[in-house]
Amino acid sequence: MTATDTDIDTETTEVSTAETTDASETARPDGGTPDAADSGTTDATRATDTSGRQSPAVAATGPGTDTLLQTDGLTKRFGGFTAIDDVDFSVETGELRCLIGPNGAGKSTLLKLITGRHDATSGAIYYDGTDITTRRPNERVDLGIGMKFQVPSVFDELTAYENMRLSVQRTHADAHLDEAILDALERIDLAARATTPAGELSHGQQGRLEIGMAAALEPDLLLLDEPVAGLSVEERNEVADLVTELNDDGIAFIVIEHDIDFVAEIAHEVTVLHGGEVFREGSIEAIRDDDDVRRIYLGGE
Amino acid sequence: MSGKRSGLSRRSFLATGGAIGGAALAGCLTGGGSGEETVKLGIIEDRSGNFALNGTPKYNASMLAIEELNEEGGILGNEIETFAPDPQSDNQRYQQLTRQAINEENVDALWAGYSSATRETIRPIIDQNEQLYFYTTQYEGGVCDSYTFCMGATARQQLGSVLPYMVENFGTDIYTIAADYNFGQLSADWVRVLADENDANVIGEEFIPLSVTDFGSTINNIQDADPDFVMALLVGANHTSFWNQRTSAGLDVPMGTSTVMAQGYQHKRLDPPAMANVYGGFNYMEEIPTDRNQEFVSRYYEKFPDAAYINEEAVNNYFSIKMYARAAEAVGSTNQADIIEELEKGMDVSAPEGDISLQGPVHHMTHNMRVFRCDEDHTITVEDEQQISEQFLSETVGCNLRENEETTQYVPADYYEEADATQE
Amino acid sequence: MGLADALDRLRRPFEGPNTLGNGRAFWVGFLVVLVGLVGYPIGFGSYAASSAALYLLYAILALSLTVIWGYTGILSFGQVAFFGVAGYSFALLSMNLESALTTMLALPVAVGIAALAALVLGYFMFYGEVRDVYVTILTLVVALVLNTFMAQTAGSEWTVGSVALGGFNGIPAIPSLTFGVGETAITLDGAAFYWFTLAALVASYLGLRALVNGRFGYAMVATREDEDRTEMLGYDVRRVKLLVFVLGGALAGLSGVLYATWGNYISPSVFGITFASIPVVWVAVGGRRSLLGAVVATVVIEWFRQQLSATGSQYALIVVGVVLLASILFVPEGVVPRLDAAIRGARDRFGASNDAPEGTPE
Repeated sequence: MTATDTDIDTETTEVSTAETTDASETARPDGGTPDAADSGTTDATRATDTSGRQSPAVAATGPGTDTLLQTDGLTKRFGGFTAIDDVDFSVETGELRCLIGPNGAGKSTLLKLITGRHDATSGAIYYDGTDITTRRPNERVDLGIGMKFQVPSVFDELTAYENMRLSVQRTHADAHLDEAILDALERIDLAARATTPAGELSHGQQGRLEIGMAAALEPDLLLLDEPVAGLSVEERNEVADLVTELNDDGIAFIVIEHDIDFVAEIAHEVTVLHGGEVFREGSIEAIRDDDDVRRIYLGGE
Repeated sequence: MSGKRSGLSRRSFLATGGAIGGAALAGCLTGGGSGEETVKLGIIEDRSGNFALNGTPKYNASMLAIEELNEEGGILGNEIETFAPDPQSDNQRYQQLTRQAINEENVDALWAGYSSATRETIRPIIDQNEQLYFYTTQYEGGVCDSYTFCMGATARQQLGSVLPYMVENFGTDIYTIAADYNFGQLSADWVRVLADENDANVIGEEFIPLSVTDFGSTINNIQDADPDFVMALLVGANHTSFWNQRTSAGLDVPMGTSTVMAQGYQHKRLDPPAMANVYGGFNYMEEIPTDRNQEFVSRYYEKFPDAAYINEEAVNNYFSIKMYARAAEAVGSTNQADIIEELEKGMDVSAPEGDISLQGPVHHMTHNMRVFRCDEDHTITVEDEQQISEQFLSETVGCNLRENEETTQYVPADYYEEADATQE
Repeated sequence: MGLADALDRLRRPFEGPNTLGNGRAFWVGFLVVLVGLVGYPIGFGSYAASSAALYLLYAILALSLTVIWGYTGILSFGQVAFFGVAGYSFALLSMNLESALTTMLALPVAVGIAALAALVLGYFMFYGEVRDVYVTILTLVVALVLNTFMAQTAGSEWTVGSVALGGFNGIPAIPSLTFGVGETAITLDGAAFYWFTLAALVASYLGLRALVNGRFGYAMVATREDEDRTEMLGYDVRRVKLLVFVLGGALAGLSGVLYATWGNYISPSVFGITFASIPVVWVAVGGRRSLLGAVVATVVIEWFRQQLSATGSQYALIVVGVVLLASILFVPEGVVPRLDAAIRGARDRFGASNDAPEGTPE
């Protein structure tokens, strides 16, 4: 597929280790997709992968590797329109990846494919050592994937406390439930608003609540779809702090955002999506300076 | 919440407390039924819902009978009171109202229900409370019940009047079309029994669900089978469309029936010649030309000038109320057990249809059956007339309520090979 | 202080934001009403109790709809299907096996059959991803198909064991519930049947209160609000709906057996469209998100309908229809929640006690 520097015999772990140390320097001027090296699989191994259950690509994620999530030739078509086109995309354990790109690039679609809201037309998704391509959304959540939707979707009529309870009760027994709920609310600084109906919280508070609810499920990977859209500068900072804090605790993130400053604040690495394909990957600085990226944004930021 | 609950209690308290108090007193005095001062009759007939057409004349005729009795001093010198709610053609309503009639209103006798389903719904309540009950609609027959008196003609009586006439006049090949439910199926069983007794053959049988309004295929089947006559046991509003459809299709084979015209007066509701060449076996139609009947008819319309028709069961209500009154007078009280015993001795009754009699041991009537013919102008003429008694219980089953207490419904399939559908 | 604390702890599992009426005042009122209901047959006699028992068993049917519709968002017109299936099953079981022991066992077995029917139908609907409005249509169709089918079982060939299904006429002479064997057996008629039904209703009500205020109740409410969101919290919403639907089927079945033993009779009309629609009226008027609302509305509406027909009114059904229309237009959340909100509002205005629950009332 692409010319890579990776030697056919190189140990996958070695490659990934190498990648994490110079993650900020992996922008490729030739525009090729660098994910072959990032994910730690080789062309040869992928070529022999006939999507059997325990394919080497699966083994490339999960315990023993640093790769948490990997998509393999992931494609999604809606009728005649191809939203995601043969995407190989991966995220490492504990990484904070931002996903950017112009409108219609397929960012939300990619996230929905990962969470299971959409079924893939073809290709595969591997997560933590498991092929999750055909798994139901709630099963993926149990495996450790969480999501915050683009549109605030807390349960309006339930209080913040009750909303949080829905998450917390999945991982806590009745005996410690109340304590755990209040703790979780504390973490997102909403303990004072515990008895307020979620529909009456401010936009920013609702967003924090959603992130908090997703985090309370103790995921390894959190997907955030435009978490700071429409928020004030102060609220935006609060979200940035929360996300960084959670990331420090070990949760990997994929964050879709348009706000480049926000991205710059939090991202380890950035993936640019365009026309359903991975266009670029690299550090935020590299991406910012990239002419091609600027062009696809039509002279954007 | 609490407010609503105590509202419920308060009302019931007044009604029930009063009734219990009164009943307790009365119970000491008479050992059953209401107090000596009044006679109360329960008349529970449909005046709304599915069976409003059939139930309203029954209610009317009952009220006429009671009014006439009251004009002559009532029963045992007491004015007759009524408990006459509208059960809305709803069997659950019938259950509640029957219980109310027996336990709260303490009726001395009960007339209730149009369909057999209704009768079967309330019969357990009747039996449990040993309540004297008159069921007045024509029905499939077979009810041998210590507390129930069936005043309508049974299927065997009706078919027994019209079927032999049809065989004699038209031939021995019979095609049966019947409503696909209990009454229709049991009546079809009786057609087979009677065909066998009259050396005729049922060459085809069709059961039509009550909801059907399109008889195209049925009419084709009849034309293909080419019978000498058809027995049409159709029931309900939807089946009424059969008559116009068969006329349009040019199907002119004569048809015998035990259901249409006398109950739902199709010959008045449909334009001629929809009911042409239809022969019905009934104990009563409004058109009976005797002086006695025409006098009754004019009394009825004087009280109910806007009434549509007097159906056969209305008349059954009428004469049975008067029959009850005579029994009460003979016994000298409204004690239900005594009245039942008196009735079981048998009684001759003068009814609008003619002189008929109560067969005491089986609680059924010997009726003055007629074969009525409807012509192209929808004029009704009487073609044949004979007294036909209830036979199935009295002769075949051997039901004798004078000697045995019973609450059973018997079916012909258990007694006649011809009637047993599982033998087909 | 000990007793009050103990009582407070006792009522904790039955309280929460998902039910109206939390706090001491409510429970005291509840106990008072309960005592009144228990004493009703003593005060008003066996017949009155027997009449009232019908309303109480209907209330259990209403609860079955409330828990699946108001709490989980599944509008089913088919609760009467399980009601009737259990009633018929009880009749066929107890009348074929004619002994006091089997009549006792026939109750749980019939309820089990209804639950099984709900499991099968629910599985095909929810795991087959049948959407909202089609669930409603499908459940109604099931009831109507049963109506048509049972109505044509009149012939002698339609017999299970020694019991004829009876077609339109139904099955009469169904034995009453009997507990115990031989000499000491108690047959439930009149007041005894009333108390048994009351116990069943109270047990159902309290059980559901505990359920909806517990963790599964939260999953139900979340499923009602937003299925996709709930799935993203890791809940298998298909399973939640199926479990609730089976519970609803079992409750409807319990109500059906009680009905069959109340009137000692059952017929296909229990599957008909009129009776299928009535629980929706009860629950919509009473407040579909309120267990208490369902019970109160059922008792009041059914008592009212009975009064209308007893006075010979031809307009009974029309009045019920108007009541339903009016409640949907003016009190869409239901009468009991509206009353509760009004009481709360009055209390707040006069700055009264602190009996408010931790969460907000639904």
